[in-house]
Amino acid sequence: MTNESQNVFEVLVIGSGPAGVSSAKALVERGFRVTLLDIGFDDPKAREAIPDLPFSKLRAEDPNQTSYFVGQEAEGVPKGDVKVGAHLTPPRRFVHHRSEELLPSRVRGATLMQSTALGGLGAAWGAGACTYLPEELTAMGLPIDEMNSAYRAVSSWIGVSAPESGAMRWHCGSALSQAQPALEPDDLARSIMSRYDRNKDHFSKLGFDIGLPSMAVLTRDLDSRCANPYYDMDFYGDSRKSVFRPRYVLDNLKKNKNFTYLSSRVCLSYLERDGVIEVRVRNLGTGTEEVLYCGQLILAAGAINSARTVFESMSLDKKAGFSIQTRLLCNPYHYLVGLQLDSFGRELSDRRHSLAQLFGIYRSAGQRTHESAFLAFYSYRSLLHFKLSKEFPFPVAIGQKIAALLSGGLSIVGVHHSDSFETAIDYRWTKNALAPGIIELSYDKHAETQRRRDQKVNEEIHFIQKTLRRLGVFPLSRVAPGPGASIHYAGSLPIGSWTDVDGRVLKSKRVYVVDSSTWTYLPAKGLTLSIMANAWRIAQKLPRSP
Amino acid sequence: MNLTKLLKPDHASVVRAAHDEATCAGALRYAPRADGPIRQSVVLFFWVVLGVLAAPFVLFKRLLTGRGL
Repeated sequence: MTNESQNVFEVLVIGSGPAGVSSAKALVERGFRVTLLDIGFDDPKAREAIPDLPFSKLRAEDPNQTSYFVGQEAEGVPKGDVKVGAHLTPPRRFVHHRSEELLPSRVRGATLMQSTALGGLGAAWGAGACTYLPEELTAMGLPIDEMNSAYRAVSSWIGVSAPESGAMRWHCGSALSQAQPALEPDDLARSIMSRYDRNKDHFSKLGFDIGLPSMAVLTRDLDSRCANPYYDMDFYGDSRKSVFRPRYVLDNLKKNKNFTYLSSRVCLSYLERDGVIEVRVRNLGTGTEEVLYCGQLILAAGAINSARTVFESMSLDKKAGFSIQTRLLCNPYHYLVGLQLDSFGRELSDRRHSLAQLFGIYRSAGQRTHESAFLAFYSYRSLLHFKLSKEFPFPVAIGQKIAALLSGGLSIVGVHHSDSFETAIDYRWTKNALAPGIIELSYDKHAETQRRRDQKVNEEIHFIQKTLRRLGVFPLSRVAPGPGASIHYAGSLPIGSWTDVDGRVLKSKRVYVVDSSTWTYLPAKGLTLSIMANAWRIAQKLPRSP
Repeated sequence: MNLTKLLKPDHASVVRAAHDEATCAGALRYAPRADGPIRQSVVLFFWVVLGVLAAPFVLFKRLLTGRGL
């Protein structure tokens, strides 16, 4: 039923993030004619302006380095406390360009980030590629065998590097079949690992394990992408396409005659009638509204915006005063800044990558597997010193000297905790006479719920800090950016209440949600690979239009 | 009152420092690798001694900000 000149499409996918491109790829391979629609902001000039050279060489020799390390308008120097998106360097700022204007929401007690980018939040993905264990998938409401099969399929074309064996292979990569060799750890990570290996059994008995990470980063060439060059520039550019980005899939799909890409469009709502879905979109280029028609609609706009589209569509025949309540799962997140004294007096190798050097899992006694906390160790030597010095209570000149002294030995440990509906962010969609379709996201829990959650998180953090000291990392500070800061969102349209296990919206026949909106639980481990696997799984089962 | 926040450098001076640092000359000025391992250790020792001396003031500040000891 494709007739693009009349805005009629067989399958319309909304969103070009990890879920959108995975489902689009699977459907094109199955022979469907697919159109993918998104806002699609990008900044190729900023990306291409970064020479493919090591960080230290660029710092010493590139006269244009200000443009990507600080930004022409100093956009890399955030004002005040950074709550969310601290890792977004100037070349990655496009990820949330105009998001507050185009995807508006009222947020109270939380900090959230939405993406308007080509590739969605995947354009700034830290590349942690974890598979979930059977107990975790059960808690999320997802079928174990189908997910394991999808993990194998997706990881084979995005390219995942992982340790061959050990605790982290079991925790984060047990469903991977063809992983590339793990990334080489840097000197600080090696030092932590050697201390851990000396007392491995003791740590394991306490429920604490660390190991090399499984990452969507190539250590061997794959198709047109190349192995990571260890240039320590991974937070600035996409050198040699080593780190997976959704736009690579989109670039390949554009070569297929069964695929069409429509950018500069925001999906507003859909209306299903007589076997056809009318999709109302706003064209950002012309400023007008358009109506597209499709046989099947795939929502992959992320947990906040897929729910927005469903709720907006449900309210089309409702009068003002219509309200829907749901929840948004989001991993509570802290990061610990620690100093590794082993690094002093040692020459540290320049050959390193900027991404997570190690992963860790902590499960306290009595906790179930899916309730474990997840750790990612970073070294961040490619951080410029002003970022640290602005946090010190000293004049900048002194702060930068201290930062220069400490930065070589700094470890930053991101700690994610699992989230359930009891402690999730409240999500309310309201249509009233003054302003139709407002999202309100608030985190304002009952005192007892808050106390229980804080107690669990504090106990985990306390143990992790103690264990880090034994691993030679002395915690200097603990930063709690607040609810929403992990940028891991799920659960707004949970299976059973709003969708079925294959993503179909219950009150529709041909509208599917393929992102993390449908999950009923959010484990602490990174979710992006699972979002892709779930989207791939659902797309494999999508029925042909009658 | 949070003394640490009060004493943080203002945004304009951080921006100036950032632009200064993101140059080839700035790279040399602030690079930790420009310091040899021995000098690094000496400077670290200096800061450790300073830290020990400063500890009573830090404790006083914690009391002042209501965070307790």
